[in-house]
Amino acid sequence: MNKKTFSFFSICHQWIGLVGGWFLFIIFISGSISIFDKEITQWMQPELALYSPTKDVSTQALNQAYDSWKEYKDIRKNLIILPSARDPFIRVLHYQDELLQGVVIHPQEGNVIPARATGGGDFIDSLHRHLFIGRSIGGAIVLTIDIAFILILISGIVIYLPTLIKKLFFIYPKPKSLRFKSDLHTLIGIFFLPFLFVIAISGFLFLAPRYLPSTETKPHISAQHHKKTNADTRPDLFPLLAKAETYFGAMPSAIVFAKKEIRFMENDEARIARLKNYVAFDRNTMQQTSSSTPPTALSLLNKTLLGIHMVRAGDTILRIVFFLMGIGSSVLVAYGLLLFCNKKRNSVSSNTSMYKQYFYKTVEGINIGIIMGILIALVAFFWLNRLLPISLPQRLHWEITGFFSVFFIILITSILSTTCNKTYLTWISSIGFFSILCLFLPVLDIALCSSYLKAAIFNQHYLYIIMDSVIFFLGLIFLRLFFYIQSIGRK
Amino acid sequence: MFILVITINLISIFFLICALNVIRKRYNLANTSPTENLCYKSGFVILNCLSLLVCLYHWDNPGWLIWINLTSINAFIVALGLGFYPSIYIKWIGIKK
Repeated sequence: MNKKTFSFFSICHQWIGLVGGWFLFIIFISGSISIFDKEITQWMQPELALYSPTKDVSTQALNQAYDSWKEYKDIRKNLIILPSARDPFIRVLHYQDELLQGVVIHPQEGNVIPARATGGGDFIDSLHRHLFIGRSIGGAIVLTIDIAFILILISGIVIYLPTLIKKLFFIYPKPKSLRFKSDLHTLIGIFFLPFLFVIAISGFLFLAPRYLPSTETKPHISAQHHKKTNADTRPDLFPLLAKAETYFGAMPSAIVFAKKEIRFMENDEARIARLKNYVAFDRNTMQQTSSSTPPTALSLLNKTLLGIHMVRAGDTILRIVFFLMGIGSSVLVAYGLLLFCNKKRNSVSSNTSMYKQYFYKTVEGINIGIIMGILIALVAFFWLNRLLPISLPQRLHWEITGFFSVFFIILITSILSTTCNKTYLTWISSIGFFSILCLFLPVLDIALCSSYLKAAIFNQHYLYIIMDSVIFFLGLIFLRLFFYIQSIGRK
Repeated sequence: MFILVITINLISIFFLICALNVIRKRYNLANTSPTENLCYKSGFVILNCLSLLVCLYHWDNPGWLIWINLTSINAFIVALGLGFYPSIYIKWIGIKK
């Protein structure tokens, strides 16, 4: 490879990686966490701990679900989510303000559970899908970042390929900071390459069709709600559910109401491919009217890639593995950003112009602000969930406003302090703050929700304890990091 | 997908061989018999295949997917270990510098 091509790819990797990295870190972190979106939503609604998990659905519960659905039937994307192993409650949801909101119904008793309104895992998921700035604009930004990410990956391979083996297994008995960052960046990049490519390509497949002219005719689900039909009479959902259960061989995942039909969606936890299989029944005759057709080979490949991206199949093990890969990829992006700063800081000399120096300092501030800002904001989001009064009007919006306020405060403070040459102080204070937030969140949880936690243990529903433990463990890791950075600072 | 699995396996074997060679060179380790090398290589392949079989048996749905990602994580940990803590490897193979 000639020098010009190498330098082109190197510049591409550096600069696209820098700007793309800011968004990629947010997308990777939120995507990794949103693998456990249903679990997070449950944790953020501790009132659900009072009920023991069950997957059996009663007629009463289905009737209550239909009545709740009717209240929001004019809003697009409204559906009834049936209980599953991951979320053992009926949820009647509608899409409003970029989030799925609604009520929780006990699948057996059929009563509406007075659970607190929360953004839950769906908020983190929407942060991943469109950065919470609108499906259309946000989706376009994420798509652009995704394309940039593919370019970053390709340019990274081109840059590191000639010295790959040497760099991978070269031995550094006492690695220096910069060398360590570079190696960790390369190592994660190489070993997680299949994962990164699959995620980048499947992400592209998710978003690109939204901005391409559609050749398919849209199903008539969305518009029909405005017309007055016999939809007002409550259908007997229980026998239909039994039919759908027999059809799929398992409990369906959701019920969607169309003009003349009631559609039962297949649970996507059973297969890797995101097939979106359904079976539909006539509202009047209760007879099966239509069902999904088997996909073509190409469409199956596409749906398999989408399924891998979503990680709905494969039980908890695959989700944990994907979570680790996602966190590893976030570390890859973070180390890439830090590597950029370190290189530029080392290259700054007395001859470097004032503007350039301030530019690099601002970039360093943005890097720290993005990395620590998103982490602190996410924990702050959990804190707000516990601290905000349950009866607070627009509670969900306060949670989200709190999240963004914390994020932008950290971002602005980081930029200001790095421009004032307080990089070390910014790092240490933000890591310490994050660690404290993580360590004390379980304490807060015990203080405010002890009755719910006791009930959860009594009902053998250990999700709340596991989640608290994971957050506490994360706090310990960052506390160790805090002392490590402090010890480096003293030297 | 199995072609992908095989490719990853081949690459990982290649990496492992390189790792052994680079470490040997760096620490001026004595050339051991080719049988030993063969032993490591075949051991690596057999263990990899075994892990795949275990994955396929235990997680019947996307066992291969779990295996690919677990292998990535494992290889990453091994590379980190070899890169930064070569003493573990040196002690393990039992050759003095």
